[in-house]
Amino acid sequence: MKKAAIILMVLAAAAAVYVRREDIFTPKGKILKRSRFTMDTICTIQAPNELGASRTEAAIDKALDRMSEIGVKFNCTSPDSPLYQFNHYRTPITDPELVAVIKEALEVSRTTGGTYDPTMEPLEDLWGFYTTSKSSGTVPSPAAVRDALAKTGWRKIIVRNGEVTATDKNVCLDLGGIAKGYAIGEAEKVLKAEGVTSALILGGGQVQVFGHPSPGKDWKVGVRNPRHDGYMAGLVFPDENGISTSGDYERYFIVNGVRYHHIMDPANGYPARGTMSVSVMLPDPTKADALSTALFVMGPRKAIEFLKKYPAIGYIIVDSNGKIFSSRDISGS
Amino acid sequence: MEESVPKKLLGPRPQDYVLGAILVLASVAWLAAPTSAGGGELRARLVHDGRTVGELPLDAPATRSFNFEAGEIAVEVRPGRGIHISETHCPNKICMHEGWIDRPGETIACLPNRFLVEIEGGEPEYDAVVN
Repeated sequence: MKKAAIILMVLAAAAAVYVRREDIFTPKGKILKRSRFTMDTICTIQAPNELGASRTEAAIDKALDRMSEIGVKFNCTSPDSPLYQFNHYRTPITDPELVAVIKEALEVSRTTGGTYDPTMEPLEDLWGFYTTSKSSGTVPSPAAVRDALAKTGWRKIIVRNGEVTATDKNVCLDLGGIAKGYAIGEAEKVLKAEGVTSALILGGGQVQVFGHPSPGKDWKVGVRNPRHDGYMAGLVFPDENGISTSGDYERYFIVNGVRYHHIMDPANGYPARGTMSVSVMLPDPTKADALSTALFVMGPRKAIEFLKKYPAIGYIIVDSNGKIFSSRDISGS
Repeated sequence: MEESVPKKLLGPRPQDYVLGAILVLASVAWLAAPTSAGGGELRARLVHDGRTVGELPLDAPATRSFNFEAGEIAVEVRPGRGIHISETHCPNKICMHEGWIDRPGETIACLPNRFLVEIEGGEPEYDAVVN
């Protein structure tokens, strides 16, 4: 009987070690990392193991779940999204979270003189940059561009008494230029609420950091050259901050030697010219996401003029000749 | 023969249980301890839908092709250049536009195929890389 009890105790101890192996064997401070396809990109969150591996990973999963939830709600091509209902059936948007982000999007439109416009969906659809099943790969006719352009205009969106409506039955909302930044900000909130004191959140061309990867060290982010010739910047983030990049290098096609990319100029319905990429550095990821698009459309000269009014916003702008303009030393660590 | 061995030596002694327990716990620890993925030679890990489907060292030429949701997709390793998506059947070819990657932490993602290429090994210069 005594022998059986000893054997059982040993087996129980072995089982306990096995079940809690992550917590027992993962060193404190080790960077834990998880990735997920969501928000139309790959999102990765990494955080040092300070809470125990299982708690840290659970917090990361919860943050990724929150991003996925936003990805579904903010997807204007999903029939379940209030945005789809608004675009197709004119159903007013009353979801408080969506209303708040739409208000913020329109505020960026107002501030930037409309170079960021959340109503560009007809043009995006026409040019075919966001479909995964088809791509036009051809330049639409001027008449088609004019028709699509006539259906856009952020001023046609009305937010009143917690409800979003439109003055034009053809205008559609697409929050693709701001939703990823918002989701990253929400992921940050989830991580902090779960007790995580340091993390890096990466979603597409956007990064948000808080805390430190290890005591005395800062998060470091490399920014690749928009033509993929190595790195043009190595950024060190000693405080909570983020970077959002918009560029002409991922979604594009070339016709007769001309590159047609996905960042449309709301003024004419064609890809914005004069810029290769814009990176914006500021702690608010929602604003950073929308601003990087807005500044890309403005073009380098106007963007730098605009940014003089907001000295707290860091930037790296690469013009269409590859010349780099930056608000800070970007030579690296 | 059996008669010449004292009977108490044939049965287990308390120290045998201690040794047995140590052996069991050490075996579990060895089996359960997570392996470290960091360091070592530079390699590309190929992941489909969260599952590793291949690993290619960056110092030897290689090609691999797969058939996933959005059709065929191929990667090519060229020493000195790194790895890139050499062929894909998805319409926008965003993953091909990413070009070559060769430094730890760099990734290429193909959304329609839920396919990820990630460089591992070595000492990463950056915690994250953006374009």
